[in-house]
Amino acid sequence: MKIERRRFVGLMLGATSGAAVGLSAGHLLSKTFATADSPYDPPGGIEEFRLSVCSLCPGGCGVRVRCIAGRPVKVDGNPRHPVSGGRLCPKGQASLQSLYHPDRIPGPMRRKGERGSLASFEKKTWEEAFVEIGGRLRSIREQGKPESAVLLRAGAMSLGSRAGSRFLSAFGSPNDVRLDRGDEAASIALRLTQGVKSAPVYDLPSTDYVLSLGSGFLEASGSPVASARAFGEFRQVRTGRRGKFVQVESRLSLTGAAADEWIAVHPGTEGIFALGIASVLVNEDLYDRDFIAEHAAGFESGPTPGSKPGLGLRALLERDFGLERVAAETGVSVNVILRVARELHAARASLVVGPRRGPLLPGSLFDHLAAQALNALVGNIDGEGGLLVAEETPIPAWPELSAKGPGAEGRKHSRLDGAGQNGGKLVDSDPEDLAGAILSKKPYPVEFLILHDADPLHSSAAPARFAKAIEGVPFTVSISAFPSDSALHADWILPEAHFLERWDLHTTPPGLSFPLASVSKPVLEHPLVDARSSAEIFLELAKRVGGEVASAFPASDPPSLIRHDMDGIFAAQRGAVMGTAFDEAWVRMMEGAGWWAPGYRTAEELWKGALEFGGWWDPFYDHEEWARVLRTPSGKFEFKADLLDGIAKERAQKLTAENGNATELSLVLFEPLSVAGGFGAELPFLPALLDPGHEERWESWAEIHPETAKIHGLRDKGWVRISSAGGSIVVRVVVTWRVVPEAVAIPAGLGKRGGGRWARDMGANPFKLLGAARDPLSGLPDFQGTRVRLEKAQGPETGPGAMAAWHGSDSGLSGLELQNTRNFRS
Amino acid sequence: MARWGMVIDLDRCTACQACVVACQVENNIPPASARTAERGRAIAWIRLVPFGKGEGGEHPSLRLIPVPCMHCEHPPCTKVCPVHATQVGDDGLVGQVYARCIGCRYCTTACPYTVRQFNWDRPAFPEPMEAGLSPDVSVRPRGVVEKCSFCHHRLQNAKDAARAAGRPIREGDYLPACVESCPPGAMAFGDFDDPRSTVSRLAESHRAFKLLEELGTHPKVIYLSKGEWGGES
Amino acid sequence: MDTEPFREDEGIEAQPPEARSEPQSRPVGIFLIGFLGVCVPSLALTALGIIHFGSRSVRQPVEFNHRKHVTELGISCDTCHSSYQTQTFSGLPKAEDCAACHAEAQGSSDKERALVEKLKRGGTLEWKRLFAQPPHVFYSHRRHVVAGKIACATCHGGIADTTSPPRQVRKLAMQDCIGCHLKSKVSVACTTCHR
Repeated sequence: MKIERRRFVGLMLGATSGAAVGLSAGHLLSKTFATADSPYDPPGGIEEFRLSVCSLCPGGCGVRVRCIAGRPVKVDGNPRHPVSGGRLCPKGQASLQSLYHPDRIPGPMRRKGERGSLASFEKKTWEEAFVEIGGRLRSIREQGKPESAVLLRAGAMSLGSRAGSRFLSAFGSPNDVRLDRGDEAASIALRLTQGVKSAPVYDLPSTDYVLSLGSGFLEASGSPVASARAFGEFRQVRTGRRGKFVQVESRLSLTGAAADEWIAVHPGTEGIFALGIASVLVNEDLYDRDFIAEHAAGFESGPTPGSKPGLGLRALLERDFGLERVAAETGVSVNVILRVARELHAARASLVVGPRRGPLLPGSLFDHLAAQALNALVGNIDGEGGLLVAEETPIPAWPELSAKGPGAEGRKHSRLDGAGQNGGKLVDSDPEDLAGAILSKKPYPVEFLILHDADPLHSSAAPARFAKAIEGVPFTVSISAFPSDSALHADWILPEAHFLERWDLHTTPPGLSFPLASVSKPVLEHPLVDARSSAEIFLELAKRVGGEVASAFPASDPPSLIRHDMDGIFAAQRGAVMGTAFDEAWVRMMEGAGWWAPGYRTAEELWKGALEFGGWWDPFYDHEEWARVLRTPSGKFEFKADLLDGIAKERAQKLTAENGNATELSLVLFEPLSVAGGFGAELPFLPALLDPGHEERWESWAEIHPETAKIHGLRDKGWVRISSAGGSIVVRVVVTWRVVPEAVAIPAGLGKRGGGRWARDMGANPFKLLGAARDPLSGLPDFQGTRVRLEKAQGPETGPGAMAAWHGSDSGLSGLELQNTRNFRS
Repeated sequence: MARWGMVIDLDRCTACQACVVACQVENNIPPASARTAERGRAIAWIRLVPFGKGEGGEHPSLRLIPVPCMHCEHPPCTKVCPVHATQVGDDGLVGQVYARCIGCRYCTTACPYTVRQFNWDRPAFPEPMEAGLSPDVSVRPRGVVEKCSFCHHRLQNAKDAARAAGRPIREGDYLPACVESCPPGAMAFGDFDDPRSTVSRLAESHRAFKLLEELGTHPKVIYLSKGEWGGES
Repeated sequence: MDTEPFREDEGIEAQPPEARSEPQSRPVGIFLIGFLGVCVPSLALTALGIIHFGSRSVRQPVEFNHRKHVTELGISCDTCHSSYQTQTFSGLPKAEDCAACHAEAQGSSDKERALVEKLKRGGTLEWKRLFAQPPHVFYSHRRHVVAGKIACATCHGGIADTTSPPRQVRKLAMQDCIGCHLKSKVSVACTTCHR
């Protein structure tokens, strides 16, 4: 045994004082010969790399997991995977913290006491869970009201997600409701203008100019890694070009920070700015005449084939979006508008990105329609470097559901949230109205609620209403790996296995063009806790209900289900097993020439290849397939100027009223990548990353312009109470020029009551500020139009936020000071 | 002997901080808490430093600069260490030997880039997080200084692999965890002594600059930042 | 196979990890006054430090006879220690590795029969490591065996000639590493082994 130096020095002191107080020699010796070294000694072991797919967000990045003696110790991107390309975002990097999290739900838990605390739950076996839950489901079905079961879920492109939807409709309920609606406004815009039901795909790598209307595409897109990779290619220098990127928004986001230019606009006027640009393009004759003539409808006023006569875009722009007016409403100078319009035109390929801010923040439909209009005017619809339409993965249909019987009867009921075209809504899901329907028990009461990876008590636009609604549901089951706010209010918590512990099949995430099927098998043989995958849970519940519900699945366990789907993909006769960049180019070239060169001959070979390399995909994209990408009644791109017109008037009135009201500010919400989609604060590496632009960590803050702060008597790092018609929260003040004077910006994703030791009670939830207001056009919650008042406040006395006085006291020279004292650039 | 170094293209960087977390996982950095973070005691070997420009002016902008250890060729930190716990190793990397460090923190003060960090607290990995620790790097005890090692253990592994394959080490064999993870591919890593390496080529760009170059530290991390639009490299 | 005779008393140690005492918190480094005053007792303690205080005996799941397997049957090391040429860690045999030969009894010893029974029941083998470094020392088998062409016995002594699991084969200290590194003219920079 040795004495190491540091201990040696310390020991010399100890020896003297030890002698002074008469410590025994034995004590000293035992102290001495303790190997005073690191408190942890990670054991070595055989190193292996195994593949999986990250599912901490819907992106579905293929990952390669480094295991030592079977223990995962590092997660990196799978280099062959077309979404991750060997890269990974901070959430994916931190995903081991969700595997080894000390506060994972250890096994099925049944609530026996008050809602809201894990102490009220007791651990049960899976059999006990299935007996009770299955029994409950059976009895609901026997009573002939299967429609009273509701599934509220996240929109993951995973097997569990598909199994849940399938289970619910086979059971006999139309109430399959999605909670995260980040892509919904953009999808509706695409549906209205192009007749296509999917999120837009931006061909960033091949474009030269990006005009983003407040989009957070670099922070929290459908797949943050894929967007960042695309951005890297957009900025790359291989071809000697370097694309220009202009961000239009009222709060400089991190996406905006990566831009070449930030155009600060009045809150909520990004769409108006876009139409101002459109008006310049039309006036100066800088638009794509060929595309408009051949493939667009509604540019000129008058009747269009297949739809009613109406206002044309040109007339609308001339009448309402004159330069002076747009400049006045947005606060952007006429010169800047003119310059951007001309740059947009001059670029070889240019792209306008709609205002989706994150997985929970879809942006206003008006702004998305404006973005679409601009994309059509510059003629980039489905062109290289333009706006593409995703191709679906050829997953084979699962057995057809019986048209008769209790299931079919139940499905005929109207949805509780009134969403979808039958309910007369543009949105596909309306969780806030679902909460209302649960409370009013109209049109029918809810008997059974399944929360699958959904936390409406935190991540919906009406957290308080959901807290009340969930108490009115007789039976709630939450499938969740963590004690989320909502799980703590459920009757049962069924722990979902971590992605490293389960079989899964992920398809293309929103925002990517290519069909994809990533196959993952468990990296760990046995889950670390008594957890099961949601696909397993739904399959088991289907068996317990029996009959047509059980036979709604083509297989009875997840790997066979995945194999079934992969066999269907084999039958589609296209694409290839994930390969190297060379393989990709080869497949593209072959398919471009009309050949299919798959590298596998049988379904078995595809299956083996998919397991070995990560899955299957088809990199080939056929541009300007008009019949596929323009599926409106007219078969053309429709500008929908009527819709824009109606909303524009309403918005103009609202904005005028608001800008005259100096005591209220516009609430701008954003989602930091590390906590986007309502998940991330649980993992302790992530709350430290919220926004590297300032010092706030592990807490919520409000960004306030220096002038506004002065008016309201607020100082930097002080506290402010922010109130709206919906509620109020107290957060830290950050005085910054990153936000315009008329707005206050707050991050979403914190403010949980559950979520384990790190997430609990960290920061505040700004969704509490949203009232009942809706985006007038889409019917989505009005995530961008809330008005708030500011008031100086006292900080919390305990908890993470209470240590304002400590700020920076021990940190030595901070980066900011470094910047001030030195000239960075020589 | 190779001269390993990094080039970071700020025009491609999206400030996502994947590098920060990749490094923390790779190098067994314990999770912080709100309290340690508040006190500025949370450890990150690479972090993003905000750099605002044109505040209040017409074209305000914000740059976020990832700052790892610069592995200076003339490091100020090694000169002040009283116990030779930090030295320039054979590979030109500035190494930190935790077992020697007595925690005097002269080096944290000497480093102009403030990338050296002191372990104020005992590292804690609540059960069962310990199972995720990498056996390649020791978990530093309380009372020592630590910093970015350019994932030195990865260099050693890459050398072993190359030697076992009977060939010299090639570009791409050795990448620190941050570089490997970087989603937009903003970070490049390689040998500055090899004129054909990517980093050598990038370092010649007119967009290239170094941090605090005037101090004579000769950092081996080079940054690229834009000229005008339409610029090249 | 280098079967250098087993030398017990090298005066240096390689101790099973479980024999190490629990880590203790210790004072943040203090650089101090009174250095000379305490120098002498401290040096005395340092001297004590190299004395081995004895370790708990190691019970392996199987009383493995290295001599039988290696010397008599000529089975190579990598049959059971599968990755010493490819990885940092040399690898310890799993139950199925043993079962490759011992699915049925090869000899007539009771111990072997017990092993065969255990393997048939699907039992696992939790070997205790005899050679381990302190947490701040890093060693790669591949580096030393493949690149350095060092024979196993150079560090592992006569393990190949033991007939039952030894309590301790030989002790290793930093001096052994440094001596060899200097002799072979490879790096003795601190970070070569410490990180």
